[in-house]
Amino acid sequence: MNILVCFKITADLEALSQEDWVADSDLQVDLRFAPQELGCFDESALSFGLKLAEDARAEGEIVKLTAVTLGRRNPSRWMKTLYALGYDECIFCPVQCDSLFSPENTANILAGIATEYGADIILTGERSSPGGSTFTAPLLSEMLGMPCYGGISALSYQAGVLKVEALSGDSIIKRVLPSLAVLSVGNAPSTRLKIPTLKEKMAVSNKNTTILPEKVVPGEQDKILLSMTAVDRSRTCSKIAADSPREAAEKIVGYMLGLEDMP
Amino acid sequence: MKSVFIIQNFYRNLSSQLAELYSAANSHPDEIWVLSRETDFVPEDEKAITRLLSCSDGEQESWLQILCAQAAENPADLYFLPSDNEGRMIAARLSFRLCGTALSGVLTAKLQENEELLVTKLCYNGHMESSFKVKKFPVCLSTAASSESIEMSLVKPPGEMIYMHKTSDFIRPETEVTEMPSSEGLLSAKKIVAVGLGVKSPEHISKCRELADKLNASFAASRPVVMNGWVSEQALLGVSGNVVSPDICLALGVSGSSAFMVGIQDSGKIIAVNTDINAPIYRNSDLRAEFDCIEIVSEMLDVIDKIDREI
Repeated sequence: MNILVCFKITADLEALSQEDWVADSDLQVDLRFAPQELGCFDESALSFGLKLAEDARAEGEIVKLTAVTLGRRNPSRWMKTLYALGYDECIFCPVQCDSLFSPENTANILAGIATEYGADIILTGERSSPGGSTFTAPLLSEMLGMPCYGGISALSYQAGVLKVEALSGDSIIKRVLPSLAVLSVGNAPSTRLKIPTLKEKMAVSNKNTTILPEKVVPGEQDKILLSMTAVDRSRTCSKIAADSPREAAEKIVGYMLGLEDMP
Repeated sequence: MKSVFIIQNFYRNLSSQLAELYSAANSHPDEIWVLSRETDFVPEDEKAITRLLSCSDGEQESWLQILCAQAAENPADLYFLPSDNEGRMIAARLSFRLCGTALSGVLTAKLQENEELLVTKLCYNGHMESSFKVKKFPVCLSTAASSESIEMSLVKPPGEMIYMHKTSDFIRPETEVTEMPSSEGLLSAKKIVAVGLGVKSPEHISKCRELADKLNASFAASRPVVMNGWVSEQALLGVSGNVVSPDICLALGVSGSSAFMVGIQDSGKIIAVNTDINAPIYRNSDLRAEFDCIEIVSEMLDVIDKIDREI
């Protein structure tokens, strides 16, 4: 079984101050100095990759677990972490153009890598900033001719069979999947990656990221970005006049039960 | 320019899907296509033709084949789909098959006088709003989640509006569908108690739920709480969850990330309780209480009990 997990390192957008939310002349927000983090949905996908590999190996399957990311800089810190956690290979593909709103370009590059690596199961997080399109997985499935299942919130491999769960509307949909699939991971509880121990890191210290040749992607073909403006959700933010939690609680109960009008 | 609303009758109620589409399109479509089993009812729009596209299962590949066949028979320029997982995935895959353009999280889609399509959507986790001019048609748009509601009547479609497109064989997964208690209460709630990681542990969640019950409010949570497994995904508020518009939302221990605020920005009033005076929620709320939310919850329960005893 060849498992390929696609992930993205993004800027921690909550670390920016209100004043930072200004578009530059390219209609993008300058995130160069924002701390970097693993996209939260991609983290779940990486966690599921490890779980799937572990479950399959426990049943005697031969598994190769690979992680791949695209971008401008090799996120070597995260690659070392993924190796330490159990990934067999970590791939970085440099991309010249940042496809902010072009998931087609991202899916195209990933499809090439998936084909080259003979991926059977492809996992990726449902969405990532800044574009947040949610389209990478379904486009990847179209390009590869594989079925796609989204909103994945649970996954297991038992008795040679891959089972996934997703919430759709008010229904929980449980599926037993065929051998090939693209899985888009949604809100999956308890899927944080563990922090590897020093021993685990040292055991893989000689493993290097596989760096692919740089890809040049075309600009937007189908749409033109016209504007980018900050969203202002600010409100009055008055402080409740209360010297104690009790006083505050009395006021809030009054407002919630309609006994008192809010200022 | 012809526009079509595409909705499905398998996993989500039709009115909530249509509310999102009407909100984004801000106009009646030319047609409404309903992916449904043959005997179901469909929504009636006096200004649109409603077509039932008969489908035996809830599999995306079935829906895609049926939609492509319908689009070949009855092509349109704009296809609007809902914000949910199915809507987003079908928008992407349908646009690929039709060689068009796809966008998700669409707030508005307006046709200009010169026949250009202008689309707005949120990006950067809800911090920024972007606008696009779309060049390549047809366009498949999955809308943003919305707190809008809609009244609609359901009718049995006349025979000539029921389409039975054939689908080619593909491997269907074994599927089991379990209905959960409806989340419609949350979407139409006038009062909501929303909890964040400030509640610190799952043991405090039950007290917050009790508070919501006593206030006759619905209960909801931020993504970190759901991701910890403390609350089910049905109660999630935000970009990847529900968007609500209560008269009043009490946010307990919520930091107020932009992705969360997208979920409650349509609230009439927002009261935030958080010990962190720098929490983003404070600048986006009407009232704030800088106390520990667990203490506030305990005191609120006591106050309510006292009021009940006095009545």
